[in-house]
Amino acid sequence: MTTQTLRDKAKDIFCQVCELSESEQEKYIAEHCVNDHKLITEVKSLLGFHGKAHHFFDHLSKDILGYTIDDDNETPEIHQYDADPYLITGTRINHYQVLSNIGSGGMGVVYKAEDTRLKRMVALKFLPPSMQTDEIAIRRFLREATTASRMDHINIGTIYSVEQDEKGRHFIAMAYYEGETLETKLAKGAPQLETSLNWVEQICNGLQAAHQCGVIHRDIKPANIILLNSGCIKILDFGLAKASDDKLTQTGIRMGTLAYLSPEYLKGQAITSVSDIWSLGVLFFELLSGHRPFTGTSDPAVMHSILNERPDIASLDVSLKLKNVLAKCLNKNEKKRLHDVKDLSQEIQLIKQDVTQKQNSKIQKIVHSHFLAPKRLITFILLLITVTSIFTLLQYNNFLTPQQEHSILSTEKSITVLSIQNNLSDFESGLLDAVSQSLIKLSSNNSQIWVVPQKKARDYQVSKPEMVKGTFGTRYIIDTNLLKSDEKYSIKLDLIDAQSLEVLDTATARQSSSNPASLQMDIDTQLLKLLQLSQLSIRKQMSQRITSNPEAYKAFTLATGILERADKKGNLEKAIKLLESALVHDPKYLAAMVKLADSYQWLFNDTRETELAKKAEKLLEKVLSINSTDIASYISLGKLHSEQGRPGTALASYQLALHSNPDNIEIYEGMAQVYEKTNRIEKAEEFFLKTIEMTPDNWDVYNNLGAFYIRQSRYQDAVMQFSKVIELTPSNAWGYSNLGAAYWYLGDIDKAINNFEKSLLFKEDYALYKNIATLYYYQHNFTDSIKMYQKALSLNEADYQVWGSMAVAAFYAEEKESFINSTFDKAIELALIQHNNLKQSIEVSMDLAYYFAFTNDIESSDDYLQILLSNEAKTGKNCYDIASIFSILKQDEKAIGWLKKSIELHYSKQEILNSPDFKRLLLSQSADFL
Amino acid sequence: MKSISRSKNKQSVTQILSELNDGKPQAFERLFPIVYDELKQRARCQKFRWYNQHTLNTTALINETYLKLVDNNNLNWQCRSHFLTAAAQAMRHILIDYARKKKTQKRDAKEQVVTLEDSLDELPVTEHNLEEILSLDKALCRLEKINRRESKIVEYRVFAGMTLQETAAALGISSATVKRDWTMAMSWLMREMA
Repeated sequence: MTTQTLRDKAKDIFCQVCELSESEQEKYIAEHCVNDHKLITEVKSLLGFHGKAHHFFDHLSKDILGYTIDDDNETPEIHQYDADPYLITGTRINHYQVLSNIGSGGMGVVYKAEDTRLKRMVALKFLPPSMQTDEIAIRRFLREATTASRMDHINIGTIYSVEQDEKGRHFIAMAYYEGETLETKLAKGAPQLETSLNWVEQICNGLQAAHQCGVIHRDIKPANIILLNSGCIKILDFGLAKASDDKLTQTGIRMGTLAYLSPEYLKGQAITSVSDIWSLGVLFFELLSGHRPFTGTSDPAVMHSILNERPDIASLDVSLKLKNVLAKCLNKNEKKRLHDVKDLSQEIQLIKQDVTQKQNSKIQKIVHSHFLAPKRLITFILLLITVTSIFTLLQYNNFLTPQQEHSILSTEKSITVLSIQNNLSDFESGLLDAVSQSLIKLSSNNSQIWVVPQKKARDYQVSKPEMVKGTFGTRYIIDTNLLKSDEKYSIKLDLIDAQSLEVLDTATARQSSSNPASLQMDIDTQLLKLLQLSQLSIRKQMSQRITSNPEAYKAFTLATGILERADKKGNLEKAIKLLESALVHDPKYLAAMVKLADSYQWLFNDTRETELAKKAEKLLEKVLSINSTDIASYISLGKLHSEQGRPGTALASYQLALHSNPDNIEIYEGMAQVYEKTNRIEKAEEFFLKTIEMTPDNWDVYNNLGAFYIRQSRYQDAVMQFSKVIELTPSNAWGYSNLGAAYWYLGDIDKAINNFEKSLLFKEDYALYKNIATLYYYQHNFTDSIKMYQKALSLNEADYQVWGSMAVAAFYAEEKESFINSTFDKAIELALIQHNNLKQSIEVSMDLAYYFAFTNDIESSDDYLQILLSNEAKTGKNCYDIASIFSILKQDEKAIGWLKKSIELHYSKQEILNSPDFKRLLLSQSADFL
Repeated sequence: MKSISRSKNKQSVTQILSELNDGKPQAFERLFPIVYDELKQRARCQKFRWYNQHTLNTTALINETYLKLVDNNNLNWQCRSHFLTAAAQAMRHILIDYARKKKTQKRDAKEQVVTLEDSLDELPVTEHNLEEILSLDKALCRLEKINRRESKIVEYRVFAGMTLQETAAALGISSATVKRDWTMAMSWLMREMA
């Protein structure tokens, strides 16, 4: 017992030497290991991994915890800094009655007191105890305080007097302000832009007054700035930093952060008024973004950041003007920095004007578009007409549209794009996709048109025109066929009535031999013709996004095709490369820019590399700078900001889009999602309802609302919505499965099963089969459960749990033994593979123990059971599972014991009573604990 | 899919913690499931939080859970240490289970379809992190068999961010010992994972 193991010995030595230099390490090891080669090897091996280990754990902890585990900078939360060193709280100092201790900043201790003569509250600031004997510090302190007290400005904290108490201790009496510091405010999150501008303007005013008096603050930071309830800003602790500076740097104590210190300060150079401007710049940045421009996990790291790193001003969500101002404040070279606070406040004035102007113009434009433009007028009237009288609507619209030779199309055009051809290459798929894209472009300005793109039709397994009406409920179908002759492609477009299946019209989009990119334009032209739309504005919009460069076109088309299978490994990256090259050929190819931005965004969603999000954002902004009404970009931006956790910005993008496109459902949907994420539920609901208002025949909007209700646990409301979906599209598999899910949540198992079965009639779905099987099992309908599991297996036979569940169901259904055994065998075989891949997985071990129990392989079952039992911390479910296994193994006493435990841990009694595993047990044994 | 009852029994976690402090380690068994459930629930919707939302920030999670479950703040910091040990274990479980689930999940692109599993179960942890966590967990299990105390220290520090002092208090040893154990464990684990 007294002999140390090799490991222990190595540990001792390793810990001693890991912080030493290499030569010292060698020396120590040589001395202490004395020819024990095994020991030496072990220590050296550990040393070898030391650096890597640090690195690994630093990174991992950062990602999981949110900060780096750091031994040396552990904040001593446990031992509070002694906040009342003078022990004067409750006593009288001169004519002040000391009430409480407010806090201890970098340069002293502050108390709240009452001035008994003037009956007002004051703050008394004492020099820190360590400096009370320092003559030079005291003199400085007094001199600075005197200068500071001469300043009289509304934005500067007033200093009343500088005094000494009977013990000779020096202190300053200042005005006591009731309010929150900016530090506290920032901790609650970044304020609105106007608020930030307002605050900084006030700070500028205060600073200006000070600088004119020749006083430099030297320590501008959020903790030194108070916001009164009236909205007035007060800068505190003016000039007081200078007094105690030397002493502080000598003793090296710096309470508080150095994130706001200027480079010249850190370098030990002269501090001037521009240093205050730097600190203000840092504060300004933080107000605008919510985080500091210079950060680090330790003091040296922060210093490095201030001295060497450029602040990320570009990514701020503000105007260019403001960004420039910030950059000027944060110039590391004092000579080049903005040097007069007056200039700063002037710039802020201008920026404030811009901001209010923007607000006003938005309001104006909305008013204008709602009541004056004729197009809007029609929409307005149409909205008044109730949803059900679509027939009368049609009549009305027929009156308005010009007579054509072909059949008159309704103004309300819902279209499904079909593409039945199989075995198309990626490039060819990309070509066909252009049709859907053109239609979507059309619909983005016009809520009378909504489109089901060809990809969706394929996902829903709609392969024939007759299936469209039941599944999507659209009025029309455009059937696309790609033809190739002599190296040239053409696309045949058939416009079909979804109800009568009559071919209403047909057109062919062709490619000119000189430029393959011309196909795109012709698609647009033919579609407009087919749909009897000819507004010039639409044409113009559509033409802006395409290219005439054949190389760019090819790359874009191929990328589009590849992106149809974006989850295949490597496809996203391939597409990105292609799109980037497309932009090289044609830098103004807007559609490619948007698609590239979207691809970056998808990749960002997977990897969370912030670079990608930034790239995406930049691209989208570029598109918008060329065409400020490009809806697709606004919507992508909105989604991106939402993913990045910038809901305010997301909403702003959507709002901007709204005011040039008030008819676009996607914008409302996007906003609803952002509202939901930020927990503004009523607003979210309001917006979902708006989309229904706009396209009341579109099953999709009801589906979205239904899904929203489920997330909000409003299952009855969800049922209503999904029922509407089914009403509109009686062959839509998702409508039924979603309705089934809603019923399941409501606890109506029968209706749930009913709807799932209906759903499966229209689309075979693996997950759905599994779910129904479980529901049947729950109802003790083992035979049907088996049938469903078999169907699931026909779609995917690699899931061991499906085999296992089927085997258990077969067991209780008393099927043939051979069937039961072979199914268990298969389940176990697959589970073992899984178990090897994920060692010590509790879930797999439990399943294995369970299956082995059924097949009477007691030893193996026991092996895996041990893993479960050795797991220290068990939940109610764990105990329940263990009890099941013991029950199958017919070890009743143990089973009951574990059941009791699970109940103690609040596991559902209902579930226990319902489970077939315990049926036998409960019949034979007393179960009064239930 | 079998339904789990969500009975929120507001057990006095505060009481359990003081029991633990009084030297009754059995109380831990009652503490763990409550902490686990609460943390798990809180970890859902993580993706929708707005601060630090591309990293997990378990520190915030655990702090909030503590504030929610513990009634009064008059507990000394040793009691908080006990809480953190439960939280560390719970967090580890949650992350490992999540990592495994992700591994076996099939990627199925469906839009706006309500599946029976909550879509809110997504955590903002990258695939890379998940791999690291799984690998660390395996190595930790091995370490546990050789030196249990070291493995606990790693668990407490990595999954709950306990400080040296808090860890020392929880284990009843000195901070210096914790530091040594930690240094050794780090290298040993790194070697195992290579």
